[in-house]
Amino acid sequence: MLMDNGNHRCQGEQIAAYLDGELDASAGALFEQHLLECRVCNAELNAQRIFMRELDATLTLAPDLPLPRNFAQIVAARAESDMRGVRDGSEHRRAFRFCLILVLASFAMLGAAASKAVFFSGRTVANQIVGIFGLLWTTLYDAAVGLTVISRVISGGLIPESPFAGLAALLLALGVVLLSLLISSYHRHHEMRLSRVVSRITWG
Amino acid sequence: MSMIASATLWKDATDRDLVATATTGVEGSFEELVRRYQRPISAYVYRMVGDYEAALDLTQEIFIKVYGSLARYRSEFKFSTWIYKIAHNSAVDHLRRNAGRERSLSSGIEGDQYELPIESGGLSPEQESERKERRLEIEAVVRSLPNAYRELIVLRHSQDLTYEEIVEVTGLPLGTVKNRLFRARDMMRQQFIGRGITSM
Repeated sequence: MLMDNGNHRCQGEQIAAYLDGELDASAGALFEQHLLECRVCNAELNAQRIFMRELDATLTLAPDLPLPRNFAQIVAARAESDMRGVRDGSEHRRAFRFCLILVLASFAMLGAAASKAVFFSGRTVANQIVGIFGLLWTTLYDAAVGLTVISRVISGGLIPESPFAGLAALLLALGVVLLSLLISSYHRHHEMRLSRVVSRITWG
Repeated sequence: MSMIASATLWKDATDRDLVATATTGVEGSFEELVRRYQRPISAYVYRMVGDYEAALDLTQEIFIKVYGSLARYRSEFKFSTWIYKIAHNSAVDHLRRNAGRERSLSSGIEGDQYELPIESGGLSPEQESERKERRLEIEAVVRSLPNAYRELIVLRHSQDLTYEEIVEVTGLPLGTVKNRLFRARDMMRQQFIGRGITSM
């Protein structure tokens, strides 16, 4: 805080620091030199000195707050039973390691206890997958059987049930093949004859 | 071990010795530390919070915190400054938590106040009465200061801490401490003038 003395502005804090004995030797000497010339600072110094003396007298002399009997003993006992402190870093780290080991061991034991349930659920899933594949296989098998039955029924209608049915079918197939060969041979000869007749007429 | 025997045993030990022995779990050493600082710390806390019961609870809480932090105490610092720092932080936290109540304290409605005793020192009844009246005025003016100013006035004038120690306790820069102390004193003087007390 600045105080105006007409010629220049003085630092109020300097006066307080001087009275508190907080100025070093050189700053103190400079301030004392300044006091010889500055009436404003001189008056302020005296006012502050009286005030601070009164303040010190009141605030330092006063107070003994009445404390309960054995207060120190009670507080010390409570503090010593409070286990939140007085542990150094290495002790914290060791405690952390112990906690970590205990946590891992707990997880391992929980895992062992839960393994039956895990295996049981795995087996159930596998059974369900096998069931789905079984259903698909059964569906395909039944479809194949159905087709076989239908084809048999149809073929049973066309081919009579007899010991020579197979031979008859073979002969029939052979006949069909021979007939087709004969028809194609006939058409070839007919085309050749027709082309000869056309050429004779043309050259004629 | 009886209280007297314990006090005698630790009488010559420094604060640092007591901290070292308390950290290793030697019985009675922490109790001696509490015994040494219970009065200044409780008085400081009371001046900060202005409530007797709260001051007692806070003082107890502070010593429990101190015990829990002993392992972190570095012997290059003064133990008194360190413990005041813990007390200061606890008091400031308490004031923040009870901001509403604190306002009522500054307006003078607070109920659970204790009148701090003062030694008469062979004064006449008139002088004693006058002194008591003056002291009550000063206490009232200190209580009416904003927290930021009150804490510095109490640390400087009640606990007799140097500027450097106040800087360590409060964590404020030296310039701010100087400035606030000056302003706080100025504010108090203005209040005294406002109350018609011109002799200060």
